Amino acid sequence: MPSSTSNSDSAFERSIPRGQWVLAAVVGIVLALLAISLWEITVRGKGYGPSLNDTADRWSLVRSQVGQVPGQTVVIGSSRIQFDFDLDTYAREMNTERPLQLAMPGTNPVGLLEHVADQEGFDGVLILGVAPGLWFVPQGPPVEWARRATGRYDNWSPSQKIGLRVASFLQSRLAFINPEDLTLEALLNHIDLPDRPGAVPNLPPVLPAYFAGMDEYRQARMWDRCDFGSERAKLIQQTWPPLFTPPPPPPHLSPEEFQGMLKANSEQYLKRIRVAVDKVRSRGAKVVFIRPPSTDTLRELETKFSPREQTWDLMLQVTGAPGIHFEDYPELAGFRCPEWSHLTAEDAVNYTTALMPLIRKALSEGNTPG
Amino acid sequence: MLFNSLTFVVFFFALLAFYYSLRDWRLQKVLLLVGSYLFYAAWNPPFVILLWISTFVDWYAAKAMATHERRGPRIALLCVSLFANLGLLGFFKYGGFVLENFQNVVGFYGMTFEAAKPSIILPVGISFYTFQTMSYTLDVFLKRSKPSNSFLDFALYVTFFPQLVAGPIVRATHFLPQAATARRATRQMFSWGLFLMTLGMFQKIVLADIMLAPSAETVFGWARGPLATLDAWLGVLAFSGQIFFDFAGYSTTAIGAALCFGFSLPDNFRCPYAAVGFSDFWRRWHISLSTWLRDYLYVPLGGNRKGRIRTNVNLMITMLLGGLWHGASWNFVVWGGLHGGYLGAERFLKGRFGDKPWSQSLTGSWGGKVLLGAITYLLINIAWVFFRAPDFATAKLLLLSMAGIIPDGAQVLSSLAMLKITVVIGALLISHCVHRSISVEAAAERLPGWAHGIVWAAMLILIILSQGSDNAFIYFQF
Repeated sequence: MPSSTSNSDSAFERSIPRGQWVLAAVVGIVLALLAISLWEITVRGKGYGPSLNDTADRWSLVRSQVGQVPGQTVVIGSSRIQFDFDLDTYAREMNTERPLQLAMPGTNPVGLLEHVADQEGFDGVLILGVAPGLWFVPQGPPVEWARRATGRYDNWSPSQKIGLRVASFLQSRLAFINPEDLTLEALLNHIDLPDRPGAVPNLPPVLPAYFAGMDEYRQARMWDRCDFGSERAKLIQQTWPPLFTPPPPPPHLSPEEFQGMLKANSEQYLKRIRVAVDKVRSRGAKVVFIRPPSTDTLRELETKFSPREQTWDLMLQVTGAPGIHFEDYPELAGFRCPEWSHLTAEDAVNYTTALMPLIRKALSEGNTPG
Repeated sequence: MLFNSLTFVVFFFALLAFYYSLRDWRLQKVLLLVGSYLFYAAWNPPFVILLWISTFVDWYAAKAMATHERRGPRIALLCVSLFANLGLLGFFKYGGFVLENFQNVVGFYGMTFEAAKPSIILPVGISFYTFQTMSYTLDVFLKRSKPSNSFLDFALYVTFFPQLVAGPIVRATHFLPQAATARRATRQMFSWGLFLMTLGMFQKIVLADIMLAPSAETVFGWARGPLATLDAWLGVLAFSGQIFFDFAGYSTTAIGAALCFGFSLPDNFRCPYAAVGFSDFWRRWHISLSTWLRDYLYVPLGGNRKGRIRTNVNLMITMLLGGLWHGASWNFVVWGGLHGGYLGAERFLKGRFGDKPWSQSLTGSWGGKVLLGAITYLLINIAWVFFRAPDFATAKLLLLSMAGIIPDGAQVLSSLAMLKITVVIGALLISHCVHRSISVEAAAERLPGWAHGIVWAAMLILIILSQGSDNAFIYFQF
């Protein structure tokens, strides 16, 4: 018979099954702790180390500091600026506080820019990192991820704030807490089953496997095991082409109609970027665009699908803000990316050091509201 | 606060430590009450006020009701309670829906009515605690029970954190007698409670969120045309499992958490996918809601006492409102309507053929039960399409894809996703069939302690490896 009774039963008590439940609890907990400890040792042996996870909560924590004190520097963009722009180097060179890193991997940053542009009291420096294709993605995960982050900040509950603290405590001590490679879901995905012929691939888009650690300031640093020529670097390289190749035109649109749709989308985004940048500058803040390096096949794909004259040049033109493109300066042009998209931790420091005179120059020129 | 959050883990064990460090039962109850308010406020502090409104109104309405013998004042007081609770529910949950439909109706007659779109946040769990407090006032009104003589006990009944935001919807007659005497979990009870919490979290985090949810999201979120028949079916089956593991997982965790404090909450699920027929299904699925609707809506409407047609009308009204309880959307109404139709058809078939020898041999045989159970599950899945689909167009396309009417549908599920669904749903159905007539407690008694320990460890390991996420329980939105 089921254990619960009808609702008219006033002396309701659940039955407790007979059995050695205290023994079961002890066996269960001890075995689980042993297994997890062994797993922790195993993954450390594979080179993993403790690292904070980049979540919407952590983004919200940094976001909550924007506008709190005058003269802050805020960084917005996607993963490249999060890897390549070294916050400590900037702080040291500018003799200021560490910038607030609000870039989010894989996102279209326009939503993030608009969110910060609405922040009263922000009057410092806004650095906008540009991976050109991403700034014009019309919909899908890159837009949703940015919306999720801003939505989390807007409705950030006390429970989520406390949860972030507990999570940080664990993440900074345990290597197996790794959302890219070591979750149950990621481990199951290693089961290599051939898909049916004609199956729609990669739904949703697959982001690269783990290749960076992150600190409490959201500074990403490339993992040593992703260095030039490594297996990990080769693995990551394979993930870029599908992510940076636009989908074919839908069957119901002619190529001309599709091109028209893309152009309209681009114009709409440019307008949104201009409005947001104007809003930021109207408060006295300064804005500078930075295009970090990409190399090899990925750079070729970007040149083909997101040419400079249709992305970067237009962004500078409509906003009137200064920009630093890695291809325009010899001191920036020599950097190479092991997996074609991000710099090593060491090169990130060198790159930022090389950037600093250019940033100073850009901030002192051309920052009047458009 | 979500059960599947680190914040809850800290909260739960801190509260347990304080609870068992106190010796005074009244202080322990005050602690539980304060803890329950913190549990709710951790999501959105101002909404605790709604809990207080519901608590105060029903406390005073029931108290005053008990002092009146005449029907008039009792009805007036009942109306106050219903107005307060249904008013809160109506404003926060159905305000936008009513406005949108009003605009549609006005537009249908060629007029225009433009109103600012209300920006109303739905307070988590409001459908659960308003129904719970209403059941108390209704019981006092119907003289099924006396009003509580302890405000503290009553406030704890409304607010007790394990069942506050997603049930089970507990009756005052179940809870208040427990609050009257000191509760202290025995070691057996405490360990069993922790086991149930682990089981519930395993259902939610591993089975619902990791094994099934991504496939259900892929299929129901596919907006680029028809799907292959196999993919459409697997996506719907994945959702049938996801919603069961999600909601049953919450209920099981709630029951386990309450046990750790020495309280007993009723079951909310009893192997529903092993149901043979729809009246059987509703005795097994979301039991605390179905019995609430039966006792406070279906029976007062006349139940089955006023003839065949009226019975069917009552069934349909109950199920339509039950559907609407889940959310302010016509999709839920259709889902409820389908279940009302299923129940009506079942009554008709039983009345027409129930005494025929072939019918009795069918329902009495093992093979016949499997066949009828399979038909029941199939029809439940068709209803789930409306429950989960974001709109009618998606539901229609999905149903057509399931029927194989549209050729060349997209194959959107990977082989791994298909394998996960097959294994998990297969295991779920077998488990429900094997355990359909016994409780989880009876099933647990069949295994020795060390085996429980291994099962427990396996669940804990998989939960920890999942590394959590902040996926809310589906029923939070209701």
